Amino acid sequence: MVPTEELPPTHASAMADVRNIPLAEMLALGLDVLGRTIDRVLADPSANSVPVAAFQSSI
Amino acid sequence: MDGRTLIPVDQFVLKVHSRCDLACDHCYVYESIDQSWRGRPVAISFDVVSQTAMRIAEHVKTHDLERVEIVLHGGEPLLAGVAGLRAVLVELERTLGGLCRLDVKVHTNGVLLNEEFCELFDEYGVGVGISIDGDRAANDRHRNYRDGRSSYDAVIRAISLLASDRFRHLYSGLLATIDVANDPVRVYESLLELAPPRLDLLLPHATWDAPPPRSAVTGTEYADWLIPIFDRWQADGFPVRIRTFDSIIATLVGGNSGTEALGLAPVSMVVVETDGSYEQADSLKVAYDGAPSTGLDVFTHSLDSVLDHQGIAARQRGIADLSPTCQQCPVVSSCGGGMYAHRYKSGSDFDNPSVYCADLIKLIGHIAECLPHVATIAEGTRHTVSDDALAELAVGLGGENAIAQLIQAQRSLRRDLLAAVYQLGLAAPPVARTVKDGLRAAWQVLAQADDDSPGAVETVLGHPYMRVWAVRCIGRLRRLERLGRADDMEHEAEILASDLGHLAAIATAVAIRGQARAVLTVPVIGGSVHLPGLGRLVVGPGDEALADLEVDADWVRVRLGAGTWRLWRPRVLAGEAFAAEPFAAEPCQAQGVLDAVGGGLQPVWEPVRALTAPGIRVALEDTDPYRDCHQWPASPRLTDEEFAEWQRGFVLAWRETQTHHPAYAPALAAGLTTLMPMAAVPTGSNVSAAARHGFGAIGAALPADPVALALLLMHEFQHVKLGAVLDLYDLFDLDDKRLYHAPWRNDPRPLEGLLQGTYAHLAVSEFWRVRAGLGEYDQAEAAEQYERWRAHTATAIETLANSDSLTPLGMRFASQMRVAIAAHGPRP
Repeated sequence: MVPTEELPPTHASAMADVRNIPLAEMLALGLDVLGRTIDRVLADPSANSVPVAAFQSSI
Repeated sequence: MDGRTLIPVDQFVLKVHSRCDLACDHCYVYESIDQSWRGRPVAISFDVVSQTAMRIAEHVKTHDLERVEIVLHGGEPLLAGVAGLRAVLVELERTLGGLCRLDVKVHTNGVLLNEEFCELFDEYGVGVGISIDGDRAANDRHRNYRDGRSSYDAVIRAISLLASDRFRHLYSGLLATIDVANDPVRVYESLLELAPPRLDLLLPHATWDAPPPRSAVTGTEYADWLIPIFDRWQADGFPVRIRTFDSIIATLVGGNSGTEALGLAPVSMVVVETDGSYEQADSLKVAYDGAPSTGLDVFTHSLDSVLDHQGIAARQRGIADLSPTCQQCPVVSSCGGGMYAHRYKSGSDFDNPSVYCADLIKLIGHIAECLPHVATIAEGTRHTVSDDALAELAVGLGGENAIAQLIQAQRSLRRDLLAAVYQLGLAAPPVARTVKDGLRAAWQVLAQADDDSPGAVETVLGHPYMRVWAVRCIGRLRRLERLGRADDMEHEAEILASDLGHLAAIATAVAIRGQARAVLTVPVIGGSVHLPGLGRLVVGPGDEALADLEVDADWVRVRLGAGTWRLWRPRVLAGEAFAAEPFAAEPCQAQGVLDAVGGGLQPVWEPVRALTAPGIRVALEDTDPYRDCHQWPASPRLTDEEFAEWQRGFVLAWRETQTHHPAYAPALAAGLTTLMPMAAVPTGSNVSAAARHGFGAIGAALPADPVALALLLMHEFQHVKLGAVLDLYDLFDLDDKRLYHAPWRNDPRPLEGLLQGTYAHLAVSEFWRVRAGLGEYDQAEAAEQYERWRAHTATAIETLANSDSLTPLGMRFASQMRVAIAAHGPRP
């Protein structure tokens, strides 16, 4: 028997992995489905006002 | 209680007129068993409208609803007349306007629609949906006047009016009732010719007692009718949203159908009749006389009372309320037992599968089979980050593997965004047809390249400012949707034309990288034609807003006005700067344009240059039109000398990082793709910034000291990493709107700002800790800086941990940051 290696635990996110869905097929998803991922990113008010992080060095 | 979670009503069908000027023989209002319309007032009274608006307002306040949708319906709602509908709209706006977002639509047969109605709808932002069953033959089969005359020409006139430039923003879509005697593809084609933003193909209402007409003996005639349309729709690249198919696809990937006809989502809709009676869905009229009745009305009962009605409750219980057959069916999450009315059978009432059960099973199976990749989403293919990688990131670091996991998620997000821009752009009525044609052409190139040279697509979509562009487009398109009125939309649509046109520039960059052919029109922005990630062709100031680009195996031809130039593709790909070559076919015209637009100057190709150092290569992005998204303004294009200074500084900064902060180098090498030069600030301070949507990019003005550049890179890349983690996970309660003290600032910060700052200062603390231990620097100053940043960071971590707003994962992240800052130790 080949021993199975235990995979490290992972944290699942809500973001669907669509990397392997051809762009042509992506359109079938419609905005309701695409919106699930997008709304999460766009809903963040600080993300909407694009600059969220800035640094003024005193060096 | 009945064990359900109570869902407030947010969709109201308001019957403003109970008669119709057509006599369609498939109409469920007049031709079915329920004849309650005969005893109702012909038109809604002001009292009913006013009381209904008050009830909705009461419900909005009770349930804190942000938006309600009101559909003006009939009979035929336009029979209420312009003055009658104006009175309804004024009252709705008066009572509800300040309380919530009011989304009003009218659903009409269209025959009375004229400019006066459209002007009224424009004034109040009312979307218009029209019923039409297909081409003339299909439409005339049922949709005729009482004397048998066809309604087709009148409906087409109405649709033409709605599709005109003046009113197309009101055009919501077309609804067609299926008759299997019609040719399905011909129906699809004829409806598509009317350029609707959305289509709905409705199964004719029927029950087991009164089954639908079937023309053959297969038992799945309705699936057999819809499947050729689906196949054609897919082959056409999904040119219009078709709700029936969208609903099935949404449920196949675990989402809601968005319609009462399919899926298990609870129904949150109520009908208000012309006499003020609350009713359940109209479709129930086909079940038995009085089936939609609730016995409740707007004068006596609140909408919460309606939610207690057993018929409404039954439709909010999901699978629990379906027949045993449905509960065990493998496609139940997609069909949801079908439309409630379609389940009716005398004796067993609604405790049956749909009369269209066999059709739904076949159609859902076919769609799942045709979209094998999409179906994988339902199987749980979600982005994950391993525990080890997340722990590495939480302590402020992250190796190549951890960054790779973040990059993979960004790839998905960018594909989502790209498809969303395309679909929203096509669906937005105010967007000009020429702009939509441009979107289609660009998408075709992208979709083809995705098959032929996926690496080229991945490279171009991986550009940091692609996401910035997409987010900007989506924001503007959504704003456009909310404006609702023509005047407000005009300006927004003009700006959008250039933004949406950039999709063609993206597609052209893909074609150049993928050695594909493409003929596309791209916007001229700020006197340049931009090819994201590659560079820009500076054509100088001029009136031309668009340039035609043709890409083939060797050349990129650029036509601007009457002039044409060409760029040799290998030189573009090699990152060389060079003057564009006037295209010999039209030398005289080209020279004329050159003289006119460029003062005799030849267009010059300015490539994106790369900064290189051992083990790292980063684009110095000073051409992209969407790069100016950081807190400080972007620098104009750098001269060769300025670029050389950046290169020198970068090499030294990278050496500093590798020598003294080697734990931070792998993440930078794996994830930092772009440096965006910023304009120096008058005070001479070092400035730098990351942008949440610009994953992989850091903006900075070049500091005089390369050590400072190393610090800027370490600091800003913390923001880049954390932004990507936040794209995937909730580390804190997004609803927490409180402001928190950040020790390094005078003004209080929102929780995300505090988290971002804390995480970035983990790296700053580490930077100064190392500097303080080196003999080659002002050690006292470095030690003081270290003490300050370590203390600030440690304090901020405790503020985060005590906020009560961190999620379990956020708490874990904070504890790992705490461990990291503790490990920095006391002042050297």
